[in-house]
Amino acid sequence: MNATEADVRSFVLAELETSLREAGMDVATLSDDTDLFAEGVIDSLGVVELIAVVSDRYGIGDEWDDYDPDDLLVLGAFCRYVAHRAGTNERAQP
Amino acid sequence: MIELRSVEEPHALTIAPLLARWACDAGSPLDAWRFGGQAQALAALETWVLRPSSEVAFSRWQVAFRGETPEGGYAAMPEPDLVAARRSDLLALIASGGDVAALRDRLAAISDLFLPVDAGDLYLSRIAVEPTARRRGVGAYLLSAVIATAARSGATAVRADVSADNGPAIALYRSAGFGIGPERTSGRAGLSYRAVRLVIST
Repeated sequence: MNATEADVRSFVLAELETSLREAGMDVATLSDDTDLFAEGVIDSLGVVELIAVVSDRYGIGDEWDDYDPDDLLVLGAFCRYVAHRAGTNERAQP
Repeated sequence: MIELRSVEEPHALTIAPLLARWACDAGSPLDAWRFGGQAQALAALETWVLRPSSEVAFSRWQVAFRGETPEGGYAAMPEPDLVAARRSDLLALIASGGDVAALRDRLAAISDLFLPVDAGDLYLSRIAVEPTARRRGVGAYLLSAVIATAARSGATAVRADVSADNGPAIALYRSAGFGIGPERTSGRAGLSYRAVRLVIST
């Protein structure tokens, strides 16, 4: 499916709404460089969960092996990667 | 006479299977749980020791040689490096092609098993002695080398996590002066670990 970085960002922020609120982070203050893992918004389990739902939503299989670990989970880089993968994946979404 | 050597890049491929076996032994029983089986753990660790950003990367190992025979080794790193390494390994775990939902369940079962590592600590990730070289002081030699490295680098403490049923390892840490933390258990994973820590006196 085709998705823009902005689409992915909205989806990710909606998924993380509760975690962001609990971490006391305002969505308006998040920048592309915000590292949600380093900031403690999500832990390693949260990362796995997020990647599972995002992979499912955008039809990304096990293609995360070329994703830079340092970008886990930098908001801008993550959304860009997902949007790019979604665009190159042929699997149709309902 | 034992001599400690780091693993230089040209020798990494040769020694990788040995380091993977040590990483798997020393990471037992946690790794079998994380990877979904002992065989899966060993297969994954064989690739992980060659990935420079991994917690078990060859560059993080010091190997004790008696002559030309490797008898044991350890992998250690400062806390900020550990955080980066675990991030890299987490992504490798996700990208390994397994069932993400099953991985999530396995990680959820152990999410409270380990205490965080303090900033400023040197983390001893793996320490292993070859079965044929045991009971000859190699473990104590390796541990004293870790402590010396921590002191030299200005680390606050040496920190490790040890399986609660690993009596010999706990005895080794205790005799080196480590504080042995209380047992933390994951019933679902069937795992119990203790945090051990030695503050470096200045």
